[in-house]
Amino acid sequence: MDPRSEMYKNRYKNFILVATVPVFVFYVTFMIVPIGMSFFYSLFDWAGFTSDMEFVGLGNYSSLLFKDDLFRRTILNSLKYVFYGGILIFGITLLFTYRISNFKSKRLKDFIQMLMFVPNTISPVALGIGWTFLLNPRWGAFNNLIDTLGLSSIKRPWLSEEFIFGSMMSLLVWIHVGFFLVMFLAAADRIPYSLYESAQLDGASSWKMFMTITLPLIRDIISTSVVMWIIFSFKIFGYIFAFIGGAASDPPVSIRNIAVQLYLTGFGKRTPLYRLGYASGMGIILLLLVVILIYVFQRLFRTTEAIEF
Amino acid sequence: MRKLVISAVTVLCLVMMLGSSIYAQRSFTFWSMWNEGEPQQQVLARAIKDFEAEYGVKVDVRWAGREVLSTVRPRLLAGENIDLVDQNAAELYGALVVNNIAGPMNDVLDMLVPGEDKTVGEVLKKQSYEGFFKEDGNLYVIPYNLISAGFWYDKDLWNDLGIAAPATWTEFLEACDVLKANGIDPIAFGLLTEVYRSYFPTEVAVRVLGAGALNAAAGDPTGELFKDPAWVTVGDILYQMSRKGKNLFMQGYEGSVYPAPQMDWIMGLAGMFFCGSWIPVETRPAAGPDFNYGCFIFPMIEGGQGNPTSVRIDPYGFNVLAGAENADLAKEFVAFFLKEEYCRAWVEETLNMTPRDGIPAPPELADLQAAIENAQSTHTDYDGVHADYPGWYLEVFLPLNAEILLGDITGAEYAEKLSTMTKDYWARQ
Repeated sequence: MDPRSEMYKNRYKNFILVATVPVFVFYVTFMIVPIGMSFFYSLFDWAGFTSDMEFVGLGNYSSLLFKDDLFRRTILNSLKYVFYGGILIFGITLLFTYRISNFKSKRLKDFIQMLMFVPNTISPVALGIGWTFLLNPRWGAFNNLIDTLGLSSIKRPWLSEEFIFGSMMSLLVWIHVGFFLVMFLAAADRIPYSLYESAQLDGASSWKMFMTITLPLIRDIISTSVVMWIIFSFKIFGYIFAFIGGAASDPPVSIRNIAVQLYLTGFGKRTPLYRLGYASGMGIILLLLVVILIYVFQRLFRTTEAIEF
Repeated sequence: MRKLVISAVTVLCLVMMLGSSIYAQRSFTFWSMWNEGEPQQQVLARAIKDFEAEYGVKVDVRWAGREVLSTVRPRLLAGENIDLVDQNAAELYGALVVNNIAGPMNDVLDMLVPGEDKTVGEVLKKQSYEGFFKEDGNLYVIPYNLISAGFWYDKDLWNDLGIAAPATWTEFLEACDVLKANGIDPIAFGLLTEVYRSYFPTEVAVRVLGAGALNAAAGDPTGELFKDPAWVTVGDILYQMSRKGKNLFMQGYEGSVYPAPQMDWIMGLAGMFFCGSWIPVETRPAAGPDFNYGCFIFPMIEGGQGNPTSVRIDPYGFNVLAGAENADLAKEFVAFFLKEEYCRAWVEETLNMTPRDGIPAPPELADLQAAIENAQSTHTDYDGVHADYPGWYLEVFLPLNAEILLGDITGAEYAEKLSTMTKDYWARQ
């Protein structure tokens, strides 16, 4: 059949429609409807055990945003995870990308990538609990190492209120640097070597080549990675839950993000709150925050040029 | 022929319907907090099997794990019938009683324990349930696992150091001095584990003001009850324990979290550890078979109005839900599970205490059981504020307890902040 014919075009349209409908139905059923239901529930004071629901309008939202100090702290924590975590993770990942992409030995490059990626293959709960053992103020490996190096004056109770957010962040950075490094290196590998050869002939240093060739040519992957990090960081749950909390306790407020607070508010656990309507409001605020941040990021870093080699 | 076939089919249907009604097995559904394979689950499963055989009934049991109340929620909402659940009493009250889903269990106290000539109320220690009657006169939990708390210590170590279990706060401070003089931090503690953080404030409040005072003050929207000068005393004692007072807690307590404090205690780095009666089970593998567990309840505070024998009672038990379709059968099982046979198995196989009278606790829990039997008064987990006012507990009590136990505020400031923050909290609701 001639692809330019009307019949072909109609059949092609029908095929697109048939192929799209199941995905659309799936998306609406499992994404849009639950979001709509969450918004609906957020308008009620509701424990979720019975159908007794007291309509409070936007009361949950006004409490969450203007009265609930605990929730405001978790918003702040979430934003700190996004920004501080993002700066640290992408800063360190880019430094590693710079160093590792210069390695001549592919085997060594692969080995380091694998080593860095390993934390991503371990259960978040195991990592969270393991990290607390490592940072135990008295017999944790980290303080012992500091002692061994003769730097006892810098020993600190790393899990105390003062340092716990940093300790949590260090775990997240360690895990995610490996994840994004694999992406950045894969992007850097697709850059034609001829570009570097030309630069070398012009006497460019490896740093100059990284800044003027590698970085601009992997910017699409960096941009995607930042969007992924924004989503990841708001959704971090297992690491925070296992870190300090574990089986014995709810995670301390200083490290809770919105996702954790939402769960604790809606689903009880150690403190039997069971406020499903209120927790649904948190979910909607979380969604809006993610959408706004991604929108702002994409507006700020949008480029119209396509990367071609 | 056609008529014959129709008649035969009709007769067959009638016979089947009649048969099914005659043989319809009574049953009830039970959603349990235990996971398959746990010793507690095994004792319960055995009792269920025996109950099914003896009563010719079917128990539809789901081993849902600790999040059982979250798990039953959507089922209840969907209209599914759930007859019986079990959980920690505070959680049952916080989740089910508050939402009017729990059914009263008073009548179970009057039921005979099968095969015995005593009622459930007669075989249970009063201390195990008396603190759980609500204002409406109803009891919503029948306990089968008795949890309490106290200061755990190594009897051999304390004997070597010549320290006896202290009965008063003065004796307690003297014991701490001896431990310190021997290079041992007095109390193992982890401030960031929130479960631990409110133990001392609650116990001190119970000794200084009496059981129920904290609960009443937490629920007072004016915050006036916290203006009682006795709350300054509570704050002063907590400050005394902190790093800026007599520094009774172990080194690094501000950054120590579960399970580090109990390990520090087992390793002999700290002299005692305040925690629940599950501690011997959790620590025995690390402590070794020769570790000699001792336990004493929070000492009397001189001049305090609280009953010095009051012990914390935090039972795990059953509730038959308000709308349960098979409530009678479920309640029969509750009484059945309190037979001596299963209560003994509970003690021997799970190494916990039973609320049933006359059954000795495991040796590790003997001191605590004696304290419970001697108690003229009881108080609940966090004096009940955790279940009754969870928002207040999270937003007022926990942060203030961190401040006072770090010594960042004085006793007077603690009392003042309790009052103002409680008033603010209730104004926001």
